Amino acid sequence: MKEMDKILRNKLGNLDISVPDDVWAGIERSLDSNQRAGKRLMFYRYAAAIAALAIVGSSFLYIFNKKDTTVKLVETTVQNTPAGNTVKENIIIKENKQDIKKENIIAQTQKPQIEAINKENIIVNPIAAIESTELQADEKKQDLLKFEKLNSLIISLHTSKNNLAIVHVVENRVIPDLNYISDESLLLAVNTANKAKQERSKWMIGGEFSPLYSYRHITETQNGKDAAYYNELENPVLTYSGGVHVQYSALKRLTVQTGVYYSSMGQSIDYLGVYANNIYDMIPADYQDRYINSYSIENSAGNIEFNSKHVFIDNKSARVNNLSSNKGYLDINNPVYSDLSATIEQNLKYLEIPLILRYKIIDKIIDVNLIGGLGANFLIENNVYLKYSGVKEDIGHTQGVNKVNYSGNIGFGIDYPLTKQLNFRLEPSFRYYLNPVSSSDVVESHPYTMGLFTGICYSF
Amino acid sequence: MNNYTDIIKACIKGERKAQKQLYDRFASTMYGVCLRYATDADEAKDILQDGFIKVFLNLKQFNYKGSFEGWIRRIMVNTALEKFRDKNYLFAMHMERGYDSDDKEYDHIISDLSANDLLKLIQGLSPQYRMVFNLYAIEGYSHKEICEILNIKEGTSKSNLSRAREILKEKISKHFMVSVNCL
Repeated sequence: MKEMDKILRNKLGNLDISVPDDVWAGIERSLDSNQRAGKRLMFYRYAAAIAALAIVGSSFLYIFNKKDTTVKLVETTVQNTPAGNTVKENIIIKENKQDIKKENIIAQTQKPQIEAINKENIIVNPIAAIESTELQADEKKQDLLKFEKLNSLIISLHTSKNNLAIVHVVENRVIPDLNYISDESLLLAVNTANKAKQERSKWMIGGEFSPLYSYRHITETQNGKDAAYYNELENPVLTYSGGVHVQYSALKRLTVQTGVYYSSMGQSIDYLGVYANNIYDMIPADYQDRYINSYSIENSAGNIEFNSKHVFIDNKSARVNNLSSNKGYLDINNPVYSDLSATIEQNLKYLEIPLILRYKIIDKIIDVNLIGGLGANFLIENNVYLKYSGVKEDIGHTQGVNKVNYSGNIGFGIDYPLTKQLNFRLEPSFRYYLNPVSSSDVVESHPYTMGLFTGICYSF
Repeated sequence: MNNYTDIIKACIKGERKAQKQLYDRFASTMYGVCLRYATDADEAKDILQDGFIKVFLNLKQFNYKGSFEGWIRRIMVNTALEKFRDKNYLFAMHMERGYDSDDKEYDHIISDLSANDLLKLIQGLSPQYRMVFNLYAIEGYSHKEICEILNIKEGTSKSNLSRAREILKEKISKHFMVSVNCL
């Protein structure tokens, strides 16, 4: 230290100089605009998320309501007695929700067998489905007259159990489809499948697991470094997620799902030099366990604070901040690990409680669902790992990470029935954090994940 | 540290009164720091303003472990350095001659100069010299640390420091009528 330096340090090192008044006014203006911008941005994000959810939800409901028309099913028993062809009326009106298509207008029987034409012994028990919301008594009588016309069709249907045949009628027209009826096995299959679908339980529980591709999207920086700067230095990581869920079929095609999911997310930094921190060795042994590493690395997710005695320097851009007056005691020419053999991984673990809407776009043996929803993510672990030569060492944590984050989820899923109550599920999904992962306003980093969830669901 | 805990928490909540209190407490000291790194008072005001905005926006990251004043000072220094780092002022300089310890005549003059005069002398240095001189002579950083902070070679840091001292000597001899015996 030169004498000149000492004199200058003493005179200028802690110099107090009165500040012009307009500086605070400028700071105040900037803080005000920053707060307004922050609030506006958050408002827009939440509004966009709610609007998107509303649009998706209302679209689902619109499609559902259009296809899932409520009709009245009228079950009418018409009995021709041998004595005088009189009609005995026994009308039961009941509501049911079922897709009615013209191609589904078929005669359904339990083990139907066309044996012979015998007008005298016809017993017909038709179910008429018509697209009116209410049936009046007159309409019922008209229907009965139409059913009588069935007799003239000279159809004799013999059933093994109760001699009942069921005919569906739509738009006030009776349409017997004899060709369809002739295919007995097909009819039985259709009836059985429909019955199984109708009896499917509304509640379902299950478990899922997925490997995750985890990275982040930088939306804003205020430190003069753009997203490209961080993109060059940081890399995605492969992690995992898993959890359990419960879902309830609110409507025939719409299901509401929630649960608890464990997710590991993060990013990594390559080109890392690890150096011995000589100041640690200078500390008496009794105090070494209380040593606080004053070096940190600035990252898009926040500053990395190290609990290791080593000094970590990102050699690609030589980013390092010395946060204490303890000046560097590291030998930059003598790294403990070279920059090509060590990697830092920032790892954040969350418990997510999602609220998911699932809309069934294909309702066959294999169901296909569109998925959208929101999730609250609670931070449970915040670690930074040093990875070298197959070893993973916990070396610190990321500062300023929010305890709670909110995410949006989209995807689609395939459900394949293994048994009557067990389904196999395959579900590619994308999750994006709506708010920045860190409380720092310097860089706004939004983590996202892409995963392929597989799991088993049990209905009850 | 406990003295500042409440005011820091209030600042994090965005309470303007607390922010003003914090500013009033440290502004004059930090303005002195900014003046050393700036070319003139206007530039120092800009650095001070940008620095305090960063302080308020990043208060959540302060971990209450070290000196709070030191934390603010580092933000001010970093803010000043960023301004010049982006302009690529910190190129390597060839070392021409050294500054030896037998310049007691200069030391005597420097110790007699006022803080304002010394500030003007330092502000008169080119940015690449001013940064290194401030970091090494005033802040106490080593050349190794400076080369990491400024992303320059260690040799560049040393030569810039040496050149800064020479320029200061020349200015002192010119403005304060000191006869200099060149080495």
